This record gives sequence, structure tokens and C-alpha cells, in this order.
Amino acid sequence: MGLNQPETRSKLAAYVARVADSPVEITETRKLSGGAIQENWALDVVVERGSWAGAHQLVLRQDSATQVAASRGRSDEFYLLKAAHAAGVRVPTPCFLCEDPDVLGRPFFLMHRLAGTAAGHRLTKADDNPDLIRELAENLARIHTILPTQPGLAFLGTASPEPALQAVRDYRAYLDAMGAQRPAIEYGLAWLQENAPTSDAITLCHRDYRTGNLMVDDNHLSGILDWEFAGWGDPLEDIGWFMAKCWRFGANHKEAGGLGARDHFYAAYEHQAGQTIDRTQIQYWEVMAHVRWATIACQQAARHRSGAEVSLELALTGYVVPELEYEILQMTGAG
Amino acid sequence: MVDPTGKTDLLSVARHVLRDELLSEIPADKKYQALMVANAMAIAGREAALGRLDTPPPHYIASLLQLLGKQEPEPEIVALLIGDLRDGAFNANTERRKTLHRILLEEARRQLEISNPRYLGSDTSV
Repeated sequence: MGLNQPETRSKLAAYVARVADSPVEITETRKLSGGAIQENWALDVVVERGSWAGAHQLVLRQDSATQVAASRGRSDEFYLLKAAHAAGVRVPTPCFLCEDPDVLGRPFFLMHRLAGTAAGHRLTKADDNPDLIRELAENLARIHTILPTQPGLAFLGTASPEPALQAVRDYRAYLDAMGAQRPAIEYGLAWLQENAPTSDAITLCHRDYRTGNLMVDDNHLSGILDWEFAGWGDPLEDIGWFMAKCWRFGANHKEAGGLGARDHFYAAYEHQAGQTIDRTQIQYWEVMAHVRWATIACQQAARHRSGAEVSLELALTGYVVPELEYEILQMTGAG
Repeated sequence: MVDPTGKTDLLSVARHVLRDELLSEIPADKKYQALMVANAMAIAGREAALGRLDTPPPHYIASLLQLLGKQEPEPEIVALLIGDLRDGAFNANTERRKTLHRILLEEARRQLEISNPRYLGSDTSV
């Protein structure tokens, strides 16, 4: 996209001026690292007058050239962000959505830039942080107050009454679509099918709620990022994803995301939600987390191998699959 | 030729220059990419020495052929295994299931020796 190019920059400035109904100056554009599925740019603007008057530090989020199955486009992500914001979830304030391809070629949206870091390797090196764990649990519980009856989220489709079995069907279909033969992942999928629980509740699930997608500033949560996988599901799926060993960045003794204690998270979630977590089901969803991440990692590597998006980061993601398969086999066992 | 100690081959030496001499000179916003390059070089070196990650060794395929009682070549035998797993043929807690688990775990360990050998060292559940 190249926001640093003068022509692109002036198109973007004209767009922001139109939606803000004011003269606008772009003072800074800088590509942000991360985001294998979309491009993120830091964008600083000064709006001269009107309801947006003042200096704004924003993030511009745009679809990448190729997509991962089940990853939502920027329009859906924008409306999810708005719904979460309205439910009191700590997220970057969504500003404007642009679906006009004449502006930057692909849809994008603007949101306020949060302070802090999301870098998992850095965050998990810190001491156990009970305050952060509490904030993460409370915010996840708030996400789970959003129900399929909520207006404005019709694009999420109909909720499956059996999310676990639906996930098994989906991941098999993704593997087939890639022509990927991964017996260890299939072993995990057979176990997941055999042991699928019935879901007591169907709510909005973030589906990528984990260390690395959570901005932390001065030891506190500043916001939850990356809503592109969100959808209706079993809220325990999000808890299992957050707890899964593959998202602890090596800090395995801190089972809650490599940041703190599992029990602290459970207690804070239950206090906020007013409901008890069925702990017997969490291990099931941790297996699901490893199977899902392994499937996505295969997809990302396939994007690289196909030549559609040649990238060292995507190529290396394929080399994460063996450790995920190893964990799947360890968790599901021989019997 | 690949040095069996892995210390003098070209990729290994180049990687050490990158990590030990160049990394500190690389701007902070490019360090992550430099570390990815070093990691890719390490993996490529291990693939050269131990075999490619995505090429299963003959004994793995032979084990699957024996388990399934078939003669199909790879990748057909793997496709048959996946079909059986999806049909629930390994759901019962049997010796066959235990054997499959052992074969898959062994293959996962082989791949980890190439992709991330330190992972096995850090795992205390084995």
C-alpha cells in the first residue's frame, strides 16, 4: 500500500478531511510490525475543526493481499470493535471505516492508537501480575455478555448449537482445502470429536484472546486487539485459548497466558460474570486451541509456499506446527 | 559436505556472525527480522544435516503400513490413515491406538529436532 508515498498520503488525507468535515494534516505515517493477516500503520493526524478537532494518534488497519480462512475483513472487524466498545470492553476506540477502493485500494478502518506493548516475549518475562490477570478476566467476561440476539452483528451469521463439533468440521475442511496431511492434528481432531462437550451458553467469542494481542501499559491492560477471528461460540473456547501452553511464550509456570495464575483468572472472571466456570471442560478447549493454532499455522505457511505472499514470518510459522502437534499428542494421550 | 558437529558449516558460521557481530548494530525496529533470519538459518542447517521436515523417514512410513496392514506408497498411506481417524477407527482404547500414538509421537519428536530442538529440552512432561 505504501502510505509514505505522496499520492497515497494525499488520497488518505482527503478521505479523513471528508469524514471529519474539516481540513486535515497528516503528520506521521509509519508501518507497524506484526499482523500476518493485515497491515497496520501508525497514523498521526491533526484535524483543524469540528467534532474531531485536535491531534489524533491513530492506527490504520487494512486487509493484506491474501487472507486466512475464517479471518474477517476490516468492515466486520470495525463493527465488532464498536460492539465491544459499547459493551464496556477495553478496546481501541473505532473511528472511521472506509470501504471505497478508490482511497487505498482495499478496505481499511481507523482506530485510536493505544499506549503500551503487546509483545508476548517481553510481557511474559515480567513477574506474576495479579492486577493484569484480573483486568484480562473481567474484560473477557464483558465480551461474553454479547449474545447472538444483539442487533448489528448479523454478519456473524447463525450460531452453531454445537460449537465444538462445528470447529472439528471446519478445521478438517481447512486442512483438506490446503491438501495438508497432518496425522497428529487429525489424531487431535478425532479426540475432540469423541470428547465434544455440549455447550451451555453461546456468546460472542474473541477467538484470539491471548498474550500478544493484548496491549499492556504500565502493568495494566490498555486494550484488546485483533478481532478478526471473532464469532459466536462457547465462551470456554476463549478461556482455553488464553490458557493454552502454546500462548505462554515459554513462561509455562504462569498458566494464565504466561502472565499469572490460572486460579486468579478464573476467580476474577467468575466474579465479573456472576457464573461459575466449568473447569472440567477447560482442558478440552486447550486441546482445541492447539489443534486450531496448528491448522492456522499450516494455512499461513501455505500462503507463503503458494507464492501468494512470500514472507519469512509466514514461512517460519510452518515450523511451529511440530511443537503444537507434540502438545496435542501429549494432551490427548494414547488411551 | 555437512560438518557433523554443525559448527563449521557455512550456514552455522554465517548465523553466528549475524547473531554475535551484526545483531547489536541492527536498529531496534529491524531486530525481530534479523532474529527471524538467524532462526531460518538454524533450521535450514538442521534440515541439511537431519533431513527435511516435510519428508518423513522410511521407518515412519513402514510403521504406518504395518499398522494399517496396507501396501500403498506415501502419500496414499497417510491419506488412508487420516480417513480411518476421521471414521473413528482409532477411537477405542486399543493396542492399535497406542501404537499409532507412539508412531506419531516419534515423528513429532523427529520434526522437533529440526524445527526447535530446545523445545524438547524445556518440556518436563516427557
